[in-house]
Amino acid sequence: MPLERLVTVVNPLGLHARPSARLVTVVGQFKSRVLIRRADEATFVDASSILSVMFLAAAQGTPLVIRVEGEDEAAALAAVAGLFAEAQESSHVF
Amino acid sequence: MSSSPLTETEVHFAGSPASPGIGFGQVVRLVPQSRPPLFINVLPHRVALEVERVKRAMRRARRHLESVKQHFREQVGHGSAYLLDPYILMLDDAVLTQAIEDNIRQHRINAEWGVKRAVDSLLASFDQLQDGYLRQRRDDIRDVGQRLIAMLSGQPMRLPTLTAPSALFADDILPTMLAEMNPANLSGIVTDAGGVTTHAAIIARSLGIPAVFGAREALDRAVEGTPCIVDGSQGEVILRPRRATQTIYLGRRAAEQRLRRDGLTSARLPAVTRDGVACHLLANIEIQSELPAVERCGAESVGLYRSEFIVSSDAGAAPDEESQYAAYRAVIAASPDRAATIRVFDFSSDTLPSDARIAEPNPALGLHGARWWLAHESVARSQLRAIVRAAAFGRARILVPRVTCLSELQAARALLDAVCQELAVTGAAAQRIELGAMIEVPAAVFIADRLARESDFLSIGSNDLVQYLLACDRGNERVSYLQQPLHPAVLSSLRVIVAAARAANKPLTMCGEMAAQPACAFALLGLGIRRFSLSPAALPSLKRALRKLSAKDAEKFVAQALTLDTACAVEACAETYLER
Repeated sequence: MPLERLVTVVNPLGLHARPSARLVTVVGQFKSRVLIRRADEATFVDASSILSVMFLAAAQGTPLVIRVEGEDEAAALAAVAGLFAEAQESSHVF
Repeated sequence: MSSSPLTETEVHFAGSPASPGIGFGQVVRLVPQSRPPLFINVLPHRVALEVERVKRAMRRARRHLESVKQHFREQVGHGSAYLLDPYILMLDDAVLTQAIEDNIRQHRINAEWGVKRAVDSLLASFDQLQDGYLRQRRDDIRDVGQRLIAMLSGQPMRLPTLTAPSALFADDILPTMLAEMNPANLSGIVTDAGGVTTHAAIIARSLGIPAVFGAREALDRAVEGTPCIVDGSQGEVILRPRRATQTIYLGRRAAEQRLRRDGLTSARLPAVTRDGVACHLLANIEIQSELPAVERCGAESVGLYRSEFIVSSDAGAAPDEESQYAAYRAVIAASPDRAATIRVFDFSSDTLPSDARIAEPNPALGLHGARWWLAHESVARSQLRAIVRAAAFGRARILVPRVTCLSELQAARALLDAVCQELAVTGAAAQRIELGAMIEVPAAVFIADRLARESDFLSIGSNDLVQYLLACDRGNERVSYLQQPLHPAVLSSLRVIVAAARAANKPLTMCGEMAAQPACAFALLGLGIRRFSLSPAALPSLKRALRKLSAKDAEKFVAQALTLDTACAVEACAETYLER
């Protein structure tokens, strides 16, 4: 069973090049397949592709669904969702 | 363009100030050397080879950019090297690789044309996106496409070797290309296209190279080797400067460098007193082109943006919402992590634009500040709309000038709530836009507790507060001797305001040049004020002064000063402390 979690973009500029790059880099550190979609759309895209992530055009406040499947899925989900939560608290990177 | 008298004259043209500083150099024109890619239909058995060529080129381009990142990091440190990550990741992107491969296979075309088709269609879909900021990132995709095609054509983009101080002129400059340049002889960058928020601008700023972007037809007008001045602080380019112009700009460059050196030495240091009390330094600005100075002078953010200056530079009574939005957005986005304080229009009948001017016998006691603003509801509304929309690019605080009654603050709050509702800005976003009262009118001092309760923050306008408290026009030289910021009435008023802000636990900022005088800074510190907003140029010396002062001494001084009878006595008392 894949794991899913709902997160929100806090960065005032949205998920632009720099946070997209961070997301893709973190996803690349895990073996699991990480997918992402806008909560208001049905199709998932590959979170390891920076172009796909940028094309989500996720502005500030956009709810996103993250889906992770694979041997290290729990750790991968924690790391990816952590990027968004961390931003909420401090640096606004995401 | 080639008539000889013309080539001898000094030519000025303007663009956006993309990276501050003034540079002198000879024009070096950067014209794309790579021809547009050739279209070739390939035989079926060649298709797989073309796909392989693309993959190899992507690997090589990626390795190359990784070394550029390494080089760039050595130039500017870790902070900005991340800017290259998106490009490196794009060259390893499964979606991009697949799109190129599909194009080559489906159309049986050469690798170069496959890249061009894939990138063009990605750019087209990017143009569909609603979000303006993300749309700008199309440049990044274009950059990657051009790099790949250059790599495939066996003519990797050649960078000019600069043997003398040079001003680089280009139609547009790729961010990665700029990161790759050796900044040694690069004294300025001028482009026809591009804006101040592009990655190229960020890179120019991190390298400290003056840059003017969006200077239309710059490339056409600049002849290779022409002497040139690039003023990245003002957004001006001067070709063939006359001797007199050169002298002026050399002087300005020296002043800027001095300011930068002073600023940089103290700007990097924390604004902390000798005994460890942390202060916050903010900048007062009037026009957008001052923004680069804000950071340079060590300000945390804009503490007072005097929005009425948008109007005086404009023809009409009030600029439309869109041009206001653009101006506020630039101010807010300049410090996305820290709130920028925008003061709504502060007019009085003698400062209104001529077509809206009204005759009043006594403008300082007339329809001014919050009174004027609230009386012009449609102007107020469109201004609030512009600020609320711009606040999406960072954090904004709204300041209401010359408040006299609590009801004025309440009316402003109601208007702001209505605008937020209209724009469907709810929850977190709306909460982030704080509203504050500016205390300048003596009446506001004595209701500071009520104002503090209903504001999110308070600001003091020192110039007007002193003028109103002492009933003296600072422009009138017959009474200008009364301009006494250390008058006991001023100190007592400030004490009341600080106490009100503390009791309500609301941040308080001192706006105005009062803090630029050492004795006043000492008094303000002793009164418990920790946030100072001044013109950028005054900040480095205030920071140096604060770092030498002790907050404990300042408190002792203020306790004593409050018992003294005259401003002269207070000044003399301050001197005994400051000379120790």
